[in-house]
Amino acid sequence: MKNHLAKNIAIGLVLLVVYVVAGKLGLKLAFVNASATAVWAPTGIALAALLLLGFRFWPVIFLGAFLVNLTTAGSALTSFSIELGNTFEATIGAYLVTRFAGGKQAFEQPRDIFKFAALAGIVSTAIAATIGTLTLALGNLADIGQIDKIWLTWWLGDMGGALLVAPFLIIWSSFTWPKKIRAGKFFEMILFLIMLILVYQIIFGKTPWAGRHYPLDFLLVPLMLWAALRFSRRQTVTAILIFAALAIWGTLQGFGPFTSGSFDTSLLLLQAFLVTVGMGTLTVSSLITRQQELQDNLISYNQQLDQEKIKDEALLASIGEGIVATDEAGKIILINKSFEDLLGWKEQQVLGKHTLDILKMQDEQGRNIPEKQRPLIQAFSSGKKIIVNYYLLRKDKTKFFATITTTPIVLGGKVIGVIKIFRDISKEKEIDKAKSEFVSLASHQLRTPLTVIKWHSSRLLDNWGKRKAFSSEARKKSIQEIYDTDQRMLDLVTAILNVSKIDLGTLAVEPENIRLENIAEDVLKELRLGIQGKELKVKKQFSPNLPRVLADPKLIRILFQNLLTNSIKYTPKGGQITCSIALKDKNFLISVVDTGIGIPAGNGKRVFEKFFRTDTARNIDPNGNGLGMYIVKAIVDVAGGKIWFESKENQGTTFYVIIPLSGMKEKTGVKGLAESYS
Amino acid sequence: MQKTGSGKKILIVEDEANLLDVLGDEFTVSGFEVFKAHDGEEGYKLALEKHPDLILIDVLMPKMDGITMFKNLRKHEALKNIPGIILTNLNDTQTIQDAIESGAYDFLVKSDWEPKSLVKRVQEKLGLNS
Repeated sequence: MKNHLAKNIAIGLVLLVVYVVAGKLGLKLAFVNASATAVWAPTGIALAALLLLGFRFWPVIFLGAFLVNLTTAGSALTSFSIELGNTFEATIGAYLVTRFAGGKQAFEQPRDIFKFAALAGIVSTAIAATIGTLTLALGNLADIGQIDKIWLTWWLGDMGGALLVAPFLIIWSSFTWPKKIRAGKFFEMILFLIMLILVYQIIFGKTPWAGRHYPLDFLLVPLMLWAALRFSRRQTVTAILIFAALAIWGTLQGFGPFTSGSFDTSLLLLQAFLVTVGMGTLTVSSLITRQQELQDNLISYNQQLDQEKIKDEALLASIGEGIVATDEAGKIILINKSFEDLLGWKEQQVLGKHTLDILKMQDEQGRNIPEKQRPLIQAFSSGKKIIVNYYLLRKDKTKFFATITTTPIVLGGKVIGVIKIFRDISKEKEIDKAKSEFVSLASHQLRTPLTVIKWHSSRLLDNWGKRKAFSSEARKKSIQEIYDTDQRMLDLVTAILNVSKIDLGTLAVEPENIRLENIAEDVLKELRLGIQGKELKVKKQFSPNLPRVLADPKLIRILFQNLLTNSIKYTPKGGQITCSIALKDKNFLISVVDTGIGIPAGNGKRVFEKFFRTDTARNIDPNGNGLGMYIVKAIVDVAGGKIWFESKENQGTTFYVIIPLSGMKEKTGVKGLAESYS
Repeated sequence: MQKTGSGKKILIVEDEANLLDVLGDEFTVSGFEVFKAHDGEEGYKLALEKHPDLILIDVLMPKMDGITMFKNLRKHEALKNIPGIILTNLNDTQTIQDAIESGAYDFLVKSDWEPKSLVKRVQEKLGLNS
C-alpha cells in the first residue's frame, strides 16, 4: 500500500511538472490574450493523463492549471475559475472518451477516432473555452470586443492540444521495445524523415517563394499517407507531432501558407490545418493497422488450421480401422492409411469414385452383396447407423472378414454423406470357429462316457432278477465299467477346464524355486504300479549339476505326468523308458524316450492339437481324451520353451522339451491347472 | 422276444468297445445275428462280406469315419439299398447334413437312446413285430 501511494505521488509530481512546463511554453505563444494561447499542449497532457492514469489524478491537473495561471494575470478568483475550466475540460473529455470512444483504445478503430475528435476535440474544449472566456470577461481581464476571438483562440488552442498531443501520448503509452527492427524499415524511416524535413522546408522554410502564400500545404498529404500506409500508428503519430512542431516554428518565423496579419490568426489557421490532416492521417493509419492485424490474424489462423489439419491427418493415419467418408452421392471424399493398407487401394485411385465400385462385399458363402442390401444404401435411406459383418474384397480380389460400421452424416436433417469404419476380424472369426468346434468336440467327448454309463445301467435295470440271462459276473463287469467310465469323465472334465483356462488366457502361473528332477522322480514314483504291471524298464539320466529353476511346480508336474503316462501307455510289455534332464546352452533339455508303438508319420504338429488322437493310440486306449499334449504344449509355451518329437512306428518315440534356465514369469490368473488322478 | 430278430443280420460299427459290446449283446439277445466292427475299414470289409440287413454306424472312428464308410458302401450295387442308421454323439449341423447326404435313413444321438429302444427302432425299420 505504501509503495502504491509513493508511486502515485511520484507520478503525480512528474505530471505536475510536465503540465506546468508545457503550460508556460504554451503561454509564451499567447498573443490575443495572455491566458488564451493558440497552442495549448496542457489540454492534451491533462486528457491523456486522466485517460491513462485514471480520474483520481484530477487534483494534479487542477493544481497544475493553478500554478500556470497564477503567474499569468488576474486575481486568484479568476485563476481559480480558469483552473476549474481546465480541470473540467480534461475530466469531461476523459469521461466522454471513456464512455463513448473506447477510452485508451480510441485510436484502434477509425470510428472511435472520429468520436474522440468530436468529444475530446470539440465538445469538452468548447466547454473550457466558454468557461475561460466568460471568466476573463467577468473579471475584466479581456477586451469585451475581442471576446469572440478569445473564445475561438482558446477553443482552437485546446483543440490542438487535445487532438495533436493527447493522441501522441496515448498511443505511445502502450510502447514496448520491438524485438527486431528490420534494416529495410529502418532505412525507409530515415528516408521518410529526410522527406519530412524537405516538405517542411518547401512549405514552411525560408524559400525564394516564401511569403507568397502559395498553398503548398497539400504536399503534406502524400507524406502523411506514406506514414499511415507504411509505418505503425506510433511512428505515424510521432511524425504528425514532429511536423506540427516544425510547422508552428516555421509559421512563427513568418513563413509558410498560413502566415497572416497576426501570429494568432496564423497559428489558428495552421492548427486547424494540422488537426485536420493529423486526424485524417491517424484514421488511415488505424485502418491500415486494423487491416494488418486482421491479415496477421488470418495468417496465424490459417497456420493454426494447417497445424490442426496435419494433426487430424496424423490422427486419421494412426487409427487401426479403415475409414472412408463419402459425399451425398456416395463418392469417396476421404480415406485413411489403414484403408490403403487393408484394401491395397491408394488414395488417388479412389477419391471421387463411387464407394460401391471400390468397396466390394461378399457374404460368408462368397456371394456378392446385392446393392439394395449394401450398408451404404441402407444408411442413406434409413439415416441410421448400420453394422454388418461381411467379407471385404481387396484391390487384388483377395478378401478378409470384416465388421463394417456405416454411419450417415446428418446435417440439418439431411444425410450429406456417410462414414464407414471397418476392421479385419478374421482372427476373431477364427477364434469363434475354434471355440464352437471345441464346444462341439467337448460335448461329443462328454457324451461318449455318459452313453456308456447309461447303456450299462439300463442293462442292469432291465435284467434285474434275471439271473440266468445276466450272470453276477456280467453284472459286476457292468458296474466296473460304469465306475471306470465315471473316473474317465472326471479326468476329462478336469482336462477340459484346464484347456479352457489356457484358451481364455486365465491360466495362473505361480513360480517357486524348484528342481525339475525332483518332480520327475515323484511322478515316476506315482506311476510305479503301471510300470510294474507292464514290466517296463525305467532309466533316469539326470545331469549332476542341474540348477534350481523358478517354475510353477504344478505345471511341471502335469508336464511330466502327461509325457510319462503316454510313454507307459503306448509302450508294450517289457519295453524301456528313459527320462533324462540335461543342460544345453541356457536351457534345460528334457527328453522322454520309449520303445513304444510310435506316432505314424504325417501326424506332425497335429499331436499338439486339442482332441487329436492317432489311430494307433485309439487302438491301444480308446478312452484317451486327446487333450494331454495340448496342455503340455501350453505349459511349455508359458515357460517360453519348445517341444517337439521324433518317432518311428513300432520302434518308439522321443519327446524333447526345452525350458529356459530363466524359468517362468509369474502370472496371476483365475486358477492354476488342476491335476487329473487317473 | 427272442424271436423278434428272426435271424436278421445287423452290422454294428463302433470304436468304443464298451458300447459295441453292450449294444451287440442287446441285439443278440433279441434274436439278431450280430457282426461287430471297431472302425470304418473293418466295418466296410464286413459289410461286403456279410451283406447285413441293416447297419448301425458311429461317425468318429479311426482309419475311416462312419459317413465315408457308408458312402463307399453305397457305391456297390448289391449294398445300395441296405438301410444305415448313423449313431453318434456328434450333433452339429455339418455332421447331420453329411449323414443325410450319405443316404443314411436315420440319424440318432447316442446318449439320447438306450440299447433296448435302439433294438425296437431297428425292428420297426425292418418290419418286424416286437
